[in-house]
Amino acid sequence: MQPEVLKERASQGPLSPLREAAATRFNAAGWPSATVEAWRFTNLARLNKKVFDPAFSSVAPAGAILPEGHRLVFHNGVFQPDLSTADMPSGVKLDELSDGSACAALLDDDRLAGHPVADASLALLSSGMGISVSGKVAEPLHVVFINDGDNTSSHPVLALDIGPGAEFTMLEHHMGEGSGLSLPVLAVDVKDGAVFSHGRVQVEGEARHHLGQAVYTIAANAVYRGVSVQTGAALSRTENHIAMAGEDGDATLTTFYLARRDQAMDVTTQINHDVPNCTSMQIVRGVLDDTAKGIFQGKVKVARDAQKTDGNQMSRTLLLSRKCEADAKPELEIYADDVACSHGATVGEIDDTQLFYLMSRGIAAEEARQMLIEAFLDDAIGEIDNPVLAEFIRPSVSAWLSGIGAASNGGR
Amino acid sequence: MPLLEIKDLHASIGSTEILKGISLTVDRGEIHAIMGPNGSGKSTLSYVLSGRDGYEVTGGDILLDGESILEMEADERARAGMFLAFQYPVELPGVGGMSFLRGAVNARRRENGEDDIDNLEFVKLVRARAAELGIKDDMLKRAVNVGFSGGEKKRYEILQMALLEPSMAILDETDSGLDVDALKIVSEGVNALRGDNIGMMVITHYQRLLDHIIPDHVHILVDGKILKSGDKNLALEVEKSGYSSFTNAA
Repeated sequence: MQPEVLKERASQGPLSPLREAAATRFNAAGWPSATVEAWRFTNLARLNKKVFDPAFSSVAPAGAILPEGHRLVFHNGVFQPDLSTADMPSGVKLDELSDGSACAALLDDDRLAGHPVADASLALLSSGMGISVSGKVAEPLHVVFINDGDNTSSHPVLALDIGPGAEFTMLEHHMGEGSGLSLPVLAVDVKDGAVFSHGRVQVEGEARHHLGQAVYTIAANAVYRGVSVQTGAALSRTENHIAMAGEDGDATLTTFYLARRDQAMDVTTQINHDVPNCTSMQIVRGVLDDTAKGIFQGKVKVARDAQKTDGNQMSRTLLLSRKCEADAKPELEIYADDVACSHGATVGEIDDTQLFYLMSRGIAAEEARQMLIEAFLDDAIGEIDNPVLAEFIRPSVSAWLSGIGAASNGGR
Repeated sequence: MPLLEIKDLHASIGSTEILKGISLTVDRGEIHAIMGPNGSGKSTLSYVLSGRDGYEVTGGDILLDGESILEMEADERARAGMFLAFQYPVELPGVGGMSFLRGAVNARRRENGEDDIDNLEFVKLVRARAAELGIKDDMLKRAVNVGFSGGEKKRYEILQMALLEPSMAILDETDSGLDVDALKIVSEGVNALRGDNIGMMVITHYQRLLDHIIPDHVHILVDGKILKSGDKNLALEVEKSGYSSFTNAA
C-alpha cells in the first residue's frame, strides 16, 4: 500500500474525516508484523514486498457466471450496476455510502478503527454500499465479488442496517483470479428481534490474497446465523467480530477452511458478550492437505454484567498430510461468574479405526478416506439449521473435496 | 476345499508376539467357537484374519477358498467374502447409514461383476432385514453407529452381515455389552444366517453366547495358542472349571 495513494484517495469522496483518519492510521502502522498478537500466526510480511494498485473504477469482463436471483456485483471492489439486478427484494433499500446516509454511521466502529484491513479499505474505498432492510425478506440477496488482474487491490465496503424485527439472508461470493489482494469490509447492525442469515464463500484463485474483516452488533432478541467457507487464495483470513449488545441475542457462526498445497488459511473470531442472557456458538472445521497451514483464533469475552451467558466454541482440524501445520488459539475471557462457556480445539489425522471399519466392509482405502473427510465436514454441515445457508456453501465444499489427491504436491 | 485354513499362524504387534502358531480349518456350514481368557489373542486373531494394519504376520498362512489372503488389504478380503462383526462397532459421525450400507453392498457387487443395486430395491431389502433384527427405521437414517446403544450397535453389525452375505464371518465378542433380550435377538439373527454357504467363527469369553449359537467345534485359545479343541461340550467344561485348568495344563 502506498501512503500517498491512501492519503489522496481518502481525501476524496464521501465520509472524508472517517476515511482520512483511517489512512493516517494505516500509513503510520502499515501491515502488522508477527509481533502483533492478533497476527502472530498469519504473517503479512509478504504483503509488504508487493505494491498493489487499488481499484477505483473497474468494469467486469463479459461472461462472468452470476447467480440467479437478486444480486449486487462488484468487480475488484467496484460496484457494477449493469451486472447487478435492478430490482431488490421488497424491503431492501440500497444506498451508495455517502455523508449522512444511515448505514454510513455503522462504519464508525471501534472494532474497525485501527484494524489494518478496515483502515486500508475505508481509506481506499473501491465502492461503498449501504443496505437497509425492513420487514421479513423472503428471497436472499447475493453479493458477488469478482476479482482479477495482477497486483490489483479490491476495497469493497458494505454496511447493513437490519431493522427491528426484520429477516434477511445475504449470500456473499468471493471469487476471481490474478494475483491481487481482496480486502472486503462488512459492518452489520442486527436490530431488536431481527434475524440475519449470512452465507460467505471465498473461492478465489490461489495466487491471490484475501483478508476479510466483518463486525456485527446483535441487539436484544436478535439472531445471527453465519456460515462461511474458504478454499481460495494463497493467504486467506476471515475475521469476524460479534458484539452481543442486547439481552437474549443469539449468534451461531459455522466456519470451514479447506486448504491444500501451500495455502495458508486463518479463521479469527471474537465474540463479546456485553449484556446478560445471550448465547453464542462457534463451530470451526478445517481440513489441511499437502503443506498447507491453518490457523484458528477464537476469543469469547464475557463482560462482568453479562450473567447467564452461554458461549461455546469448538474447532476441529483434520490433517491429511504430515507436512501441514495447524495452529489453534481458543480463548475465553470471562469476568462474569454465572455463565456456561466452553471451548476446545482438536487437531488430528484420519482415525485408523474408522478407516479399518469401512475397509472391513469392502470399501477401498482411498474411497474410505474420502468418505471420512466428507463425513468430517458433513457432520458440521448437518448441524446448520438453515437449509438455504447449508445448500449455499455445500458446492464449494464438494468442489474442494473432489480435488483431494488430484493436484497435490504429495507429502503424505 | 476348506473355506478357511489357518496354518501355523504367528503374528506380532511391534516386537511382541501375540499369536504363537495357530492352526485351524473352518468348512462351509460350520460354526467354530474360539474361547479364551482376556489377553489370549482372540481379538488379535480376528484383526489378523480381517487384515487390520498394525499386525505383522511373522509366520504361517491364511487361506480363504484355497488362496492366501496375507497380501490382501482389509477391503479386498471383505470383497473376497470375509466379514468381521466388531466387538466395539465404530461410530462414523457424518457418514449416513444408508449410504454406508449401499457403499459396502455395491463394493461387493462390483467385485463380482454385478451392477450396483437398485436404490429402491435396496431400501426395501434393508428395511426387511432390519425389521427382522428389531432395528427401527429411525436408526437406519442416522449416521453409522452414532447415538446407538450397545445392543443396537451389535444388531447393526448383524444387519451388515445379512446384507453382505459373507462366506466367512468372524463374530468378535458379539455378546459383550448385551442384555439377555438383546443377546437373544442377535443370536437369532446369526442363526438365521447359518447355512451351507457360510462358515462362522464366534469369538467369546463366556459360554452363554454358545447356549444361543450352538457351535460345531470349540477351541480354547490361551496365550496365542490353541490348547484344546472339542465339540460344544468343551464350552461347558470351561464354564465349570474356568480357563485356569487349561492354563495350568500348559
